[in-house]
Amino acid sequence: MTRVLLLWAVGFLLLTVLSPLLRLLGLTRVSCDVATLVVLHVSLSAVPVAAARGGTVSRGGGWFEPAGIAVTVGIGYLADVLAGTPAGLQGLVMAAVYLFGRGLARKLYLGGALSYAIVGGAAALYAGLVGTLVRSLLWRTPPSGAWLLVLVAQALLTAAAAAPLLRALAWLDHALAGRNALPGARQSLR
Amino acid sequence: MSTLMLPRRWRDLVLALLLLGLPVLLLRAQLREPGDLNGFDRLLLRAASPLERAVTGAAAGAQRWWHRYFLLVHVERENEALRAERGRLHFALQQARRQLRLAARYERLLAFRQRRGLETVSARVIGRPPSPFVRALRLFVDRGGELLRRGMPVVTDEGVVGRVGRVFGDYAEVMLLVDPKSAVDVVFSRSRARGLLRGAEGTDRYLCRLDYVLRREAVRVGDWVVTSGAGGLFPEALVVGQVSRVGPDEGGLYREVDVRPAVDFGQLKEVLVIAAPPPAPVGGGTPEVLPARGLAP
Repeated sequence: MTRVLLLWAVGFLLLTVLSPLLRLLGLTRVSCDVATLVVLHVSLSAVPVAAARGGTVSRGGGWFEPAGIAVTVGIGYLADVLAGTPAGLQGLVMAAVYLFGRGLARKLYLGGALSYAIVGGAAALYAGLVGTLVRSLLWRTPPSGAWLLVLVAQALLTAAAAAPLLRALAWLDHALAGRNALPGARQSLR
Repeated sequence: MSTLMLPRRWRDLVLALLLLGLPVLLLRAQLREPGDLNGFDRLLLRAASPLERAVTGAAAGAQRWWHRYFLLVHVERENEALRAERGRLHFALQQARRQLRLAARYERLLAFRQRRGLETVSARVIGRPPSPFVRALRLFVDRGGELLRRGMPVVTDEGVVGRVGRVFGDYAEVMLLVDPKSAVDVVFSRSRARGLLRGAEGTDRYLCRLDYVLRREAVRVGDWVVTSGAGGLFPEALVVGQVSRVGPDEGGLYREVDVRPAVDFGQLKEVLVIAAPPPAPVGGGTPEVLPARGLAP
């Protein structure tokens, strides 16, 4: 529960500070998809033991982990409220990202900055496409070519931020596991 | 094992429904009734707003600082460039002023030469002999150096400077009026009284003594002294100086009179050498000391 609350808080903080930081960097049209990265983190590190090892990514585990689901739903809700999108839209996108991440985690063992960047960028592009699809279906507005370019640019920006952010989140998980002495984490830390 | 698997499946089903169903339900409700924010949403936004504002303020401050840093760097470079430019312009201005002064001096000299109808050679003052016992100037003649001869008068538009001494190529020395060996026949412009002007011995290097001024002559401080033209060396009526002191009447035949030269020898830059043939030495004496015709005791 602590991990879920902490990740909600981190997601809330990131979503809140992202806009002014991007404005400082002069990026107004393109954004870094931090919500996707937080959900990607929980989907890839759904097993606390693996998170406690200091690596973000685990291999194996089920499709649905309660903590990961809770974080995903909460982050989607936060993203909707803070972005002003209709409630549930980002939730659906985040759910898709969670399943994307779980699918990867079940098949691959990922590690290293480059793989984080690739997975982060791919997840952001995927999230953008899912969001665009949902919006198109609901509001019947076909996406333009320029919008797709924006999605690609956003994916690239997210890929650039993926490695440091996923590492930071892994560090948080590690610190939390050590302090709260989760059974699995404690065992692994020995 | 199956009993254990069943709850797992059920649990996954519940979680999948939660993951996918909850957003769908929310979205459906939102699309049906796009209403206002609920209390929790407001709470979230209320919590986010000050944070966002603080980050915006901090980001703006950082941006300002960053821009100012670059601005300062830019300003420093610009300042250096401007300082260098200012130095160049200052130098150019000084040069222009110098040229202007030079042109003004040449203009005055030219006007003087034309007014007096003199045949002259212009020369630049390049220095002074290092000895303190010699009251002279060194000249450089741009053109016409071959015309210079020992004893030629040297003047400016302000008055008499002296006479050419040694000549070496395009260079020459001028023995100033104030040199003790110099002697020029002069008259007072007011009273037409005559006298022989010599450089004064003593500490004041730029003072002349007027000899052979008769006691009966009405000489006053401030009287102008000009060349008499006697002896043919200096043209007539060139300003020489002004009486600065008249000695007390002690009952002798002559009065002691001090004259301060009209020309400021310390500030001389250009002079005119009157290209007239120098006078022949009289009686085997030094050519610089001319006989004061009619004034000899």
